[in-house]
Amino acid sequence: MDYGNRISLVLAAVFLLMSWNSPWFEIEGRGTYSEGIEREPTIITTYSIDSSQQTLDVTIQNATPLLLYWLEREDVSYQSENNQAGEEEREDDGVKAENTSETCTESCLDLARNSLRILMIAFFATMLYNTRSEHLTARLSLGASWLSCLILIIFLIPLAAAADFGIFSGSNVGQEDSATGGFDSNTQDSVQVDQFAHFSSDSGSKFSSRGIIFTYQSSGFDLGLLEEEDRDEVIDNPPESGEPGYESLIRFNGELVAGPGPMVTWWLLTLPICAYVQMPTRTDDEEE
Amino acid sequence: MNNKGLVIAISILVSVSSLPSVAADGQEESTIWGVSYDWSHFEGDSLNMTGVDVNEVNRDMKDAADYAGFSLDYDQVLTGTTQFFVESWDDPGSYTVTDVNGTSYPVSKRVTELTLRHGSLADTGIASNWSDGNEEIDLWSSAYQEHLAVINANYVEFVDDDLVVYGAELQMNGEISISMGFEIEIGILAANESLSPEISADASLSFSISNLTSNWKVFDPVDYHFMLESEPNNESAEAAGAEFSEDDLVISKEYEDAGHIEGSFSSLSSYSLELSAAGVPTEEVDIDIDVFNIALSDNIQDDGVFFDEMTLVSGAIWGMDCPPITGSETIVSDGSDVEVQCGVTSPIPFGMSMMMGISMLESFDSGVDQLIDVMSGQIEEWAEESGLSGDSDIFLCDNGNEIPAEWENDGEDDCGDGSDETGPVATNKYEKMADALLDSNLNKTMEAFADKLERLVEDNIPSEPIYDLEDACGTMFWRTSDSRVVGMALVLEGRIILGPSVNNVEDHPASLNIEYLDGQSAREAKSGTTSIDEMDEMAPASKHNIEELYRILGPRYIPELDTKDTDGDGTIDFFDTDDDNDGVSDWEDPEPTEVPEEDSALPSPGLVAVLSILASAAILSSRREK
Repeated sequence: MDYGNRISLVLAAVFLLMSWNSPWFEIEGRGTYSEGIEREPTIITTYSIDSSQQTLDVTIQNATPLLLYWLEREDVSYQSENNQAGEEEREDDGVKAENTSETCTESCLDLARNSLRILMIAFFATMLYNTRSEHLTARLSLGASWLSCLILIIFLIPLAAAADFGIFSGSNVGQEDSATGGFDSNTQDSVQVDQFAHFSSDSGSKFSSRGIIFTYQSSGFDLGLLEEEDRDEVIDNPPESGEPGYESLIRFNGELVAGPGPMVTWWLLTLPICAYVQMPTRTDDEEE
Repeated sequence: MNNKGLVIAISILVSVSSLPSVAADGQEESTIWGVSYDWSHFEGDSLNMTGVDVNEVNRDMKDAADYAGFSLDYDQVLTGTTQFFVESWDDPGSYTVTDVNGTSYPVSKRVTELTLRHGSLADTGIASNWSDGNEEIDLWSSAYQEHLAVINANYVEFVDDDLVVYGAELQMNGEISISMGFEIEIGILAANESLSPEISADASLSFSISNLTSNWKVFDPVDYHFMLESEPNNESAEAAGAEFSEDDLVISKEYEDAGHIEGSFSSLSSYSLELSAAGVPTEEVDIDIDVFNIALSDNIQDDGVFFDEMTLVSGAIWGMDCPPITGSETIVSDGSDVEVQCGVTSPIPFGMSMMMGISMLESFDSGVDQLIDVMSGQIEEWAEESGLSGDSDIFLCDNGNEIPAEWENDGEDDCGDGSDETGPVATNKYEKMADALLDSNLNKTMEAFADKLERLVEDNIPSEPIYDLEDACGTMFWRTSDSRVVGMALVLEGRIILGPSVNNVEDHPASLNIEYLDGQSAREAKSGTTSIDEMDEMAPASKHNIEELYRILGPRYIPELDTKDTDGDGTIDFFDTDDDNDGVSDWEDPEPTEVPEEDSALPSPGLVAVLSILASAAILSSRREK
């Protein structure tokens, strides 16, 4: 093995280790209550996956008025649907359990981690093989393993995490409509859409260098902030600014960025090395 | 300039150079007293008072654990200072104030200043490991608390010659903050399963007032100082409309319509709460998260004005004896004998304490109100969820009985008809682990530890208390001539343990590091205190030696410990109380890590020294000319 190939292998090993130990996938959400709650409380949620763990950070700035809002509002949607939901709950639990178990045998993410570990080892092995052989099969296997790893990192890891959350099995998270588009669904006190009168929401998404950016805006009159006898009036006629009931208007703006973590950067750095080791070996004559 | 002039100039310069550079605050004719305590002496003082050596008890715990077959290390460190001073004086100038109705009164001023400084750091650590060969528990925990209180209050009361009050002004600023947190890591290995939760939490709460001024205007002149003028009796109390109890000569009066209080303020209420949990079982809540961090914070800035009714409560207990101090006594205050009355009353004027209370409540109104609403609401919710409020989930048995829902399928027939045990008994990993620990020798080990510790601790606790703390009492001293509190005393077993000298009363022999100050010593101490408002000035980190805690808890206690050792004495600067080895403790050293150069023997010249040298040179040069 020539000197260049040895350096390539060492570099590839370093990049692989860095890639493995960097955050794999990150979701960062930032939502602000821009109207209805004083001092515009902001919820910042960060979810990340790495080789060993899933981490969730929830930060609430200017938390007091938001906590007060969650505590003081009456759960109107709960009251209206309580009986019906209660009857179906036990059945749903059983279905959930079954569906979750159908998705993966144990943890989908662990399965994805193990797959990635095996693929990375395979990638390194094929790279080693490429330094010794210029056979087309070797080159194809190196390219295939590199691409497989990339697909796994970009698509399958997030999907595995989503599956663990029960998204594909109709489980809890993301199933219920949240007035914040799910931005605060990791907190106990997120508010449901049924709670609002004249609720409207708008969402959008776009691709950027950071990943996929989802934006979400919603507004509506939170009936739980009103006295029971005032709710019908607000439902029938949305109050204008200054009119009774207008104080229950809640407006929320959020942005959520989902994208691969620094792992991808490290992984992409292995591409030039792949290209280098696949270059035809220079003969001694050419060197001379 | 002739020689005589130069000599005089030198003399003046030399004499001035020996004076303190900053004149004491307050008034020379003021009455001042206060207390100062250095919390790093707390363990020693506890030993002197109770005979219980805290460090020896820690060693006993370690020895008892060794005897029982597991390891246990524990230590705590406490440092900080508390100082408060009450200074008051009269400003007999001629002033005019108006009451609520606009009526003007000629008055003089009676000024009271309260200065409070408290800063303390407390750290605790525990590390323990138990194993019986199969099962193992590893415990690591650290915790801290920081308390800070800074209060400067200046109260000016407008009075006439009979000390009848026509209003008052209050100016104050300050900060009160509490920070605390803990970190705990537990490793449990049992039934071939492992559990290793790591939980840490930090919480801080702070209220600060950058500026508060308030003004009290009376409806009618208020006379409450009379309570400290002469011993009350039924007739005098009745004449004043005050309540009176003859047994202890207790007189008190509530002035419900004492006037209006209005003011302006600028305050900041802030808090932060951070919780981090890793390795905690989350299966039951359907959350597949390994590390969970949550942080809540808020800063509630509030600026505004307030207007409220002034209520005033005042009183005094003249018959509160604290033997041998009783009735009227002669104390030594500021080097002079002062006739005082003993009893119980407020150390600061009642008008001042009421104004401070009302003004502070008003200035934190929005912040504190919101915080209290959130806390009470959250506690109520938690109580409901935990079943303390009686609203928890209920399982309805077939026979009509109601049992807590969590008792369903727990392996026991709680209904009586078996209807709560229709499903499989929930046995999971954690129950298996708990069963394995119950079957291990953990219980025996703890019993052996408790027995041994009891025996060891017995040796450290005197069978008879050194001092009978139940025989302690406190009393205030006030001058009846001007109704002013001039000091206080704590008396233990008939001798003064804290306070001024009282004629014919001995000082207590117990050695305590708490210091009672009055007169010039208090004035100087207060002068050095007023500029201090940071935690590091009251509880310097360099004095808070956590080396022993680091030894117990290891590198994860301080992950990025700076191991620099300036003086090369083998103790790193972080734990060294004298980094540069110049004989001056770091907390008193302006340049704690500045090692003096050995070849530089000349002291650094000050202004006075330079002028003195120049003057001497002038004298010598004139002599040479002669």
